[in-house]
Order: sequence, then structure tokens, then C-alpha cells
Amino acid sequence: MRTVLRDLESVSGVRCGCIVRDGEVLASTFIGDSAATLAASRELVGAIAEGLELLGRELDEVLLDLGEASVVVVPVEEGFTLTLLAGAETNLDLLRVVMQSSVRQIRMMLSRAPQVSASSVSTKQPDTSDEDVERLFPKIIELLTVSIGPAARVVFKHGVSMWKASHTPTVGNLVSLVEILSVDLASDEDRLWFCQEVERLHTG
Amino acid sequence: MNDTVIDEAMRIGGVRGVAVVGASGKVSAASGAAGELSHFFEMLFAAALPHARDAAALSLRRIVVRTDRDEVFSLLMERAEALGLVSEKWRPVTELCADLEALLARN
Repeated sequence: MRTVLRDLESVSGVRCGCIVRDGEVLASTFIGDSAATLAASRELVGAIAEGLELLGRELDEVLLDLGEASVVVVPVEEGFTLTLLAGAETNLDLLRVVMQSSVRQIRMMLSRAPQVSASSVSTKQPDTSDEDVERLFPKIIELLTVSIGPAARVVFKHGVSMWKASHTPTVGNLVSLVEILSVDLASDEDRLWFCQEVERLHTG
Repeated sequence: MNDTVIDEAMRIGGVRGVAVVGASGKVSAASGAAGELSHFFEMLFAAALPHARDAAALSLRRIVVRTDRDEVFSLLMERAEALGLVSEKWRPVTELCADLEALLARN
């Protein structure tokens, strides 16, 4: 979770972030005055979620505009939220895309957690190295850009962090990186195309 | 805020409904889809008021809520009042709010 926050904080303008599950802070970089902002935001977002429930709606995202900064809260699942404090200079549309990507990746990590550890053991390939796979990264970013546009670079960076946290970063494990990145593609057709193109990259 | 604000706001692209929440905390006027969401906007206003501009830690100016449907609920805090909006997701909220703030400045 710390990796997710660290990557989100690399988005221009993002000041700090927090991941909370069932009231427990899993990771947070809110300190000082920003901690008070976080507490007030959580109270407000809780009230908003209750109000939406009465309308039969689910919360997708809340943005609190504070003038000099904004608080953006995105639910991962019930009682599990990702919160960021971003300066006024932040491109909020880009931040929304990146946050939604992180949420999808967290969900995938949660749903696959037991299998991830098993696969990382069984697919280790000592005959390949980080250098081999990193040579492919610029091409993979290009392919991702075709599908999702300028957000590709940030989405890729997040995806690679997730991948490295759960797998040995080798060409043999590239399929897992492709799975992580595919979560952000719009359609099954796009996902299939992306998988085939990445496979073509490393099989020649 | 008056009827002119509501009429002009309803003509902004992507806007489906507008509600004015008065200082009493009650919706004093509403149009379009906002009519059936009066209680929600009143609740949102009540929750937001303690955090409104210069009043507390948040100094809140605006709340934007995206739901699982094709709709965005926004509440723009204006002194003791607020303007509630229902809009479509395709319209970037930053653009929408810029249009509304210009409208409020004119009126």
C-alpha cells in the first residue's frame, strides 16, 4: 500500500495521501495541518456516502475543493478508501484517471493475493534479468499510449511498481505485468491487442 | 440567488438540474433533475456548512460527488447559501464550475 501512495504522490501537485480500511490507517503521509484536513474530510465523506445510500446510489468519487488544494476520495470497496490531498495546480482529470487505475490495481492485488505469492515462486527465471525486461519498457509504454493516451506513462509506472512488489521483474513474468496494465484498458478487444503486441515484443 | 441563476444554469451544457439551498438549509428553488434530490442537497449543505470557507479546517468551497450512475452532484458554497447541481459525467466538472462561477459573478 505504501508503494501505491508513493507512486500517486509522484503525480504533479499531489501533496499527501492515505489508505484507510475499516477505520484502520493502512498507509498515510498526512501530517500536521493536513491530518486535521483528513479527519474533517473523512467525516464529510461518510455523511455523503450515507446520503447516497438513501438514494440507492453508490459513491464513485468525492472531490472537496478547498481553494488552494483539493481532497479527492475514491472508495476501493466498502469501508476501504484512497484519499489524496492535491494542490490547486494539479491536473485533476489526470489525477482521477490515475486514482481509478490505482484502485483497480489494489482490488486486483486483494483478489489475487494468495495466488500472487505462489506464482512469484514458481515463475522465477534465473536466466533473465531486470535489464532484459527494462529494455522493453519504452515499447510497452508506446503500446499503452495507443490505448489510453497521455495517462499511459503514469499508469505504466504504477503498474510496474505493483508488479515489482509481487513478482520477480523478469521477461518470464512479463505476462503478470501485462495483466496488471490490462485492467486499465477499455475493452476486451484492446486487452487482447495489447497482450498480443507485448508478446510479439519479447518473442521477436 | 434568484430564478435567473437557475434559468441560466439550466442552459449550461451537461446540466440536468439546479437547486438553490437557502441560509435556512432548505431548498428554496429547484429545476430539472434537482427537484427530486432536494433532501440530498439539504443534507449535503448541512454536512458541508461547518466546513465552509474560512469556517474550519477544510475551508470548503465546492463538493463534487460522482456516483455509480451517469450523474455528478455538485454543491457550490456561496456565503450562507449554496447552489446544487446535477450534471452528466461527460462534462468536465472543472469547466462546468468555471461556467457557474462566471454566472454567479454576473448575478
